[in-house]
Amino acid sequence: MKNFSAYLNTTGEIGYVEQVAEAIIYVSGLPKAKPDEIVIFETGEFGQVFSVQPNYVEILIFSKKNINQGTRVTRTNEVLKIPVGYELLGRVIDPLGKPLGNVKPLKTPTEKRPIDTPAAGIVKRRPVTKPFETGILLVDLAIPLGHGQRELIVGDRKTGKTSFLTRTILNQTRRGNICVYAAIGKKKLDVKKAEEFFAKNGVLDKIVIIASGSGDSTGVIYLTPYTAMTISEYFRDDGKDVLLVLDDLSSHAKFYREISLLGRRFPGRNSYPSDIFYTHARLMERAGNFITEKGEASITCLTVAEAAAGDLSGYIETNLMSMTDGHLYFDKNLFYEGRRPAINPFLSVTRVGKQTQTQLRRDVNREIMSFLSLYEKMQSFIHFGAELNENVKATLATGEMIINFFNQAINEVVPINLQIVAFSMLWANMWRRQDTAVIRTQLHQILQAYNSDKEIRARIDKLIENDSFNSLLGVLKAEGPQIIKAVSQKYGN
Amino acid sequence: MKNDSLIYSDILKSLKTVEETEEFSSKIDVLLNSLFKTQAKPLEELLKKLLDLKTSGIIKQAMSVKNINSSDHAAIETLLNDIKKEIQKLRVLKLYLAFDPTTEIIDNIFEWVLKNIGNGIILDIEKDESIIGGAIIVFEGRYKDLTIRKRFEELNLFSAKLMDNLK
Amino acid sequence: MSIDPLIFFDLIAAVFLLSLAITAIAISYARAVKKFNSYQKEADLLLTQIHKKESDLLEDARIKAGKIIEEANVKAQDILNSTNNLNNDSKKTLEDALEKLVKHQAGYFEKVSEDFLKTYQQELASLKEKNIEILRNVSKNIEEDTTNEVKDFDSVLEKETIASQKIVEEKIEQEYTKIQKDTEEYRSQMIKKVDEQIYKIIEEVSKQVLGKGLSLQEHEDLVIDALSKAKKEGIAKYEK
Repeated sequence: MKNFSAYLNTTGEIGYVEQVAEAIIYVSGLPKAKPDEIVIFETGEFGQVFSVQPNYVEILIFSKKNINQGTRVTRTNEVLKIPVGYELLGRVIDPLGKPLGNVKPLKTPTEKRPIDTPAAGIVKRRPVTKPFETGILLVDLAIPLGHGQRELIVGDRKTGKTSFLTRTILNQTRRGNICVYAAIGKKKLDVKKAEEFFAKNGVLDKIVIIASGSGDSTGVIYLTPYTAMTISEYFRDDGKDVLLVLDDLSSHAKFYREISLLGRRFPGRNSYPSDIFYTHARLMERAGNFITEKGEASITCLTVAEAAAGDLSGYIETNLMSMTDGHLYFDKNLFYEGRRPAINPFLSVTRVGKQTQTQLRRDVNREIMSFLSLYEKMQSFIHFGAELNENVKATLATGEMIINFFNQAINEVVPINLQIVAFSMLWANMWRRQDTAVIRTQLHQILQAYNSDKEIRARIDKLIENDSFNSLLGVLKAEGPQIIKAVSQKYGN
Repeated sequence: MKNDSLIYSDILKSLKTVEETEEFSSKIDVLLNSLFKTQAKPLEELLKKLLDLKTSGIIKQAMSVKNINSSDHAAIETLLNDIKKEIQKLRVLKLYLAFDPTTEIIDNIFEWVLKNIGNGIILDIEKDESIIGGAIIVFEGRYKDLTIRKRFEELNLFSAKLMDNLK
Repeated sequence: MSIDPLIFFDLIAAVFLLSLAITAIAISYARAVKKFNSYQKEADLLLTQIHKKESDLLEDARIKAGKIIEEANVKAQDILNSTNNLNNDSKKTLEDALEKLVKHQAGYFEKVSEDFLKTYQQELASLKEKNIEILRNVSKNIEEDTTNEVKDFDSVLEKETIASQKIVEEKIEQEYTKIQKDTEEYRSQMIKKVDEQIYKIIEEVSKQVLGKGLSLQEHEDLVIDALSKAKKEGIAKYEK
């Protein structure tokens, strides 16, 4: 960016600050200002033209410093562009591209891209075909996702949404994909914790974190998801699969509401401006599965929305649900019961995930869902206090075992082949009459063995080649106890 | 009311700069405030006491054109408010000059502006010695730097190269 | 009231028949009871007989069992006694055998150790002599080798010192020329800086002078020129 006088001489237009209202500044003059154009102040700050009126121009400012009335402003004839490149990996940056907090300086990438580009047209799109592994048993088996899917993570506050996302990021980066994490208006401490978690697990060099704190100016917070999407698009154009996490869009909506109300827009439902849908929709449409010069690449977008008191019918939540290809509902009641992750599989939806799965996984999926709904129905029988017959007792026991199976520890990530085999072993009653602690430890050992022992991994991978659930169960009758024995010999007791 | 605006423009022609306009505006406010005091004094006295000769001349002229009686205070109030509204509509041409202009020069500049750009424009003149000569002109959001300083910078008159060549 | 005599006789006949029937039933009942009693007596007799047989059997069985156990005890006792004897016998034979063996082994070991000692002493003596010889030879060789090496080292050292001296001299030359160049550069840079500063001063002064040097009329003309130029460049395009 050149300085103020240079732009003044080039464009020959000047404006004077008339009124300052927190994030919006009213400026007189600047006759040829266009919406979304960048303007620069005499004092060096810059802002974006929010709207043009006959007598003044509304400018959204990107700095927290106070601007005095009468300050001169000039146009730059450019839109907002941010630097994008591989140098950003492993860094925490603010939405304008400046590095945050790190000691070593960031080598500014050479390529600059505008923040607000139109979404790719239909020629560049491809259907979602690759399965997306989150590493979390419940999601991958019951509510599967695909690469290029936009999925909404919705739930009450403090239900484990962010920890689910960090585990997914961990799994994806371990498989070599790039992750972009946008922290919109979050506390600096939370961002720091996330960064340290990634660094501790050795995956920080595949992640870009774009963070804006609640202490930053509202205009900058508003830009955060657009910056994150632009950076993801850069990596997508280079042929890489990107995971984009937007945490969270409901507070982004609140900040945009603040800006609009200051800009005297007419308040709509819940005082949100009437273009709140467009604000989010044009962002979500830029994610998906595309064909690029380097082959097929995708941007998978996981957006977070906080539903007040679990109310899925709120304005922003329903908006986002209509823009995304499904949602994962984090239930407060399940969280208090101790289930982690607290995802309610009956209220969660995935619209394009199931088409990416193999026949075997679809079978497993069907079994799980039908069994879970049966188990739910049985739960209500217990409350009646009636005498339970043998069948019901057996179902309840199996149901409990499966629910415990789905409870996963904080940083435990399970590969997909192992998920199917472990579940099938559970289903085939390999651990009948054993209590949950024993089953837990054995599953843990199998996970360890899978990660470290090639032979056991090969055996388990071979089992996946069966093409139906029933045939897998048949093979497991023999293989299962052998695997358990082999694992416990190596790692047990 | 085309007639009216023409009348006002005649009156307002005497206001050439922003300072003059502000002074005039505040005097009209004073007059308005004292117009309806309980001890109603005749207009002549008020004009003589509160305003200077020039301003009272302007107001008297306006009154004569509109045929307003000096005791009709309500009509006078309307007249004064109308004048104030017209003043709001004036456009400001800001000039940064390198020197302190005399009243004659200001008049000349005003005449030029009236002839070449239009009426309803007042001047806002500021002194900035660093421009050496010429002026920076700001009008309706457009900014033109036509100073000698700028010419020097463009020609790089004092660059080392030139000096070396001169040597 | 007169009943029909027929009916009267019918009634009496009926009563007579009924009483006959009743007596017949009574007699048969008495007979049945008598039979039952006799059966009952037989059954009782049989039961007592059975009981007596049971207790007799139990007695017999107990007596038999007692006898068997006695016999078994006696047998066990005999076996135990015989094993004791066996134990003592075997112990004694084992002890005798052990004594004999020990005596034999002791004699054998003594002889063998004497032989071993003799051979060991001989070997030691011969080794000592050999070592002394070797040592003598080795020290002589070392002496020769070291003197040769020292001579070689001397010559090499001489050569090296001369070569390195030359190298150092060359290096010093290079450094000197480089420093000269650097100082020249530095000098020219400084001169350039000073020149620039002078130009700046000239610029500032002339700017101020020029500003004051212009007359008011000239200023006014300049301003009007600027205004006309601005108008030409379109400063007042839009009329309200």
